[in-house]
Amino acid sequence: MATLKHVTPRVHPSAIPPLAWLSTFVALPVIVLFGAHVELADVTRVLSRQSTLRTSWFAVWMAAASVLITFAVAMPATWLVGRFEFRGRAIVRAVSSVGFLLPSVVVSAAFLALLPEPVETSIFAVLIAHAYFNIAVVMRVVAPRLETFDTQLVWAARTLGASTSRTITSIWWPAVRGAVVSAATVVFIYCFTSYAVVRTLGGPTLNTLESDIAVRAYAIGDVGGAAVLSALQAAMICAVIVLARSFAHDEDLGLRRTRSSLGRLTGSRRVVGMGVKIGTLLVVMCPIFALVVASMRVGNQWSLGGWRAVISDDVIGSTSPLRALWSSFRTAVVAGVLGIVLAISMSLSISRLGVRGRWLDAIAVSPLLISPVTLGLGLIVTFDESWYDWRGEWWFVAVVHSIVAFPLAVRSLVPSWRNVTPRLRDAAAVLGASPTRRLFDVDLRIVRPAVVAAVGLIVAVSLGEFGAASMLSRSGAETLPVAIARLLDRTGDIVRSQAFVLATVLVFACLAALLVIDVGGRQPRHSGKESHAPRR
Amino acid sequence: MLRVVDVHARRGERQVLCGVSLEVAHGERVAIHGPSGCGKTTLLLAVAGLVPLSAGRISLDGRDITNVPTHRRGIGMVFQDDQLFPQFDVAENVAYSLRVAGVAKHERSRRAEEWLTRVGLSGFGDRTIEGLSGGESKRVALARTLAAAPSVLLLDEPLTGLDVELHRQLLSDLRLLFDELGTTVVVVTHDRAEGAAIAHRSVEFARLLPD
Repeated sequence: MATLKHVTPRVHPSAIPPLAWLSTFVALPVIVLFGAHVELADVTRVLSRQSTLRTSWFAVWMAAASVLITFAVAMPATWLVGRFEFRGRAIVRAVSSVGFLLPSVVVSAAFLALLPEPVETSIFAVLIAHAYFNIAVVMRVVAPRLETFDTQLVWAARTLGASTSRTITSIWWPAVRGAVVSAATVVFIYCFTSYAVVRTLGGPTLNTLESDIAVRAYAIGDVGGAAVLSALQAAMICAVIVLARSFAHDEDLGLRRTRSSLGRLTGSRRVVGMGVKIGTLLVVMCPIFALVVASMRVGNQWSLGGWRAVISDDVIGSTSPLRALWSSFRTAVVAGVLGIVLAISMSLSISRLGVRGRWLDAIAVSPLLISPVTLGLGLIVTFDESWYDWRGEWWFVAVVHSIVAFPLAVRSLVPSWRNVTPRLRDAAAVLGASPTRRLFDVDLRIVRPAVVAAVGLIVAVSLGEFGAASMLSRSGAETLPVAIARLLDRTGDIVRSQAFVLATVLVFACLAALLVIDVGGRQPRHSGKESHAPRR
Repeated sequence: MLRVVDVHARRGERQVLCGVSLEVAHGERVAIHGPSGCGKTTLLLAVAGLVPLSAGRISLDGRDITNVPTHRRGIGMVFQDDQLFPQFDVAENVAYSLRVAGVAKHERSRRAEEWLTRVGLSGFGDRTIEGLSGGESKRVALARTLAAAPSVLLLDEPLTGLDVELHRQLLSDLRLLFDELGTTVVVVTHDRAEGAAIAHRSVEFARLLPD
């Protein structure tokens, strides 16, 4: 393989902007938060408190229960999609991934609209909402593993005298264990740090560490205590990851990458398959439908009062619906631009450096370890005076969103850079293309679909992000999720109806972003006649 | 005239070329034979400027091009696995060098079609790369390289992996085309018959090294 010797040093610098960005807006706030605001007394005070233990325990079992329920709901559809070819397979797959990218506040609002009054705010509602989100995680992680499973292994085991239960324990389980464990880990962490759902659906008594951090910092003003709690939470997340790794270290065991051999649904399986298909679609669509219906009701009557109130911009408390819309829009646009530029440079460096880029990869996903609420808190205590008092600036929320979405965006871009082989660049060079020209015509051109998809992802994340925005949004200029949560906190039929209207608007905005991800993510058949490359 | 004088090059840790010398006259076609892994491909990459030299000189028509970057050498190369751009259709692939050179769009598509006709692929312009067979893909790669009007054309195992009938057909097409254009060609192949059919003169790779 010919590698262009001079490529590596020139690409190194592309990691500098994202690294500087992460140091300023992640590392620095974390250091300031723990260095300047935590005293030893805070540590002993928080750790010895009864409520800390209670909250941690609740977060753990609630997350574990969420994982079990998620798998119970998601496995039938996952099995169907992973093992069988049938009409509507792509639709089942696409629809079940909708949940994950819908804003947590919207999903909470949807379940408020859907569930009957007695269980509207309860642990039951929280668990169901969590399962709803995470169907997509199980589907996305486990189904591909099932697809590549070599059925001949089962046949081989059968001919050697293995019973059905035996083939499950000795053939199937080792093959899917890695995927199941990693999906379970992601779901667990997600539920463990859940904030918006617990806050909206959990009622005043239920608290995860994440929501406790927010309450402590925001309502009580106990920054030190909040910081200690976030450290505790991060430590527990690390413990879970380590535990999961030890379970699934032999991830590739029993996995033979073969061309997927999907079965057909025949006979009675067809009926079961149809049931699972319809069931999954219903489960996913129902809350969204309930939300739309709820937006058109005020109290117990059909009415477009909510929509009228939003359009005429009825300010409730300090929350203005139209300003929230505008605020979310500009935040998402700025976060999209910032995020994609940073993610492109980072993913470019990671893929060009190969094995030597592993440390960059680790840094790129590091923001995942810091919860949005903690990040928001760190930023508040860091950028708080003189010229860098940015806490109330609207663009500061966009900066935070560019960071929250950064790991996801980088992760989705790295594989597509790997499609750009050095030889393809060589081919362009031989035809007279300069290094800059090669970057535009070969590298950027090939990753373009992935870039479009990543922009959609960042926008979707920004539109729905709640934790950090709730810490940083100045009242009167909240983003939509924050505005919705504040409206849901209040009483009054018309107020509630307005919240459902805004949630409906947000759902469709996010669905539009998802559409961009889906359409943009596909390589067009006749990929573009026109060129966007600069003329020399 | 292409002159390669005492060229040394390494790929990673391995010293692949140790003092290779070669002269190719204007319009001459030379085939280089040798077992796989002997450094034939590396020699072509070095001539194209894609592998840096640790010693030696390369000149073209009296001009020293040792330190000229690939894109300014005016040397064309058809890679063993074609390396067509998957992001472009067939016509855009063929016209790529023209686009780089700033030729207007209309003129580009006219010349792309002209070259496609020359290699027997008239009307293939708006096809995608994935849809091409092995032989078609090779022809497109050839058209793309020739469209750049290179002063020397380097071919790396041009007919490997094609079935017998296709091999024969493409071989005679290549010969006719090169005769007509008077292209200077260096072709690297492990197949003697193939080399003899394309080239005026065949040499063993081992003969290019110092005694």
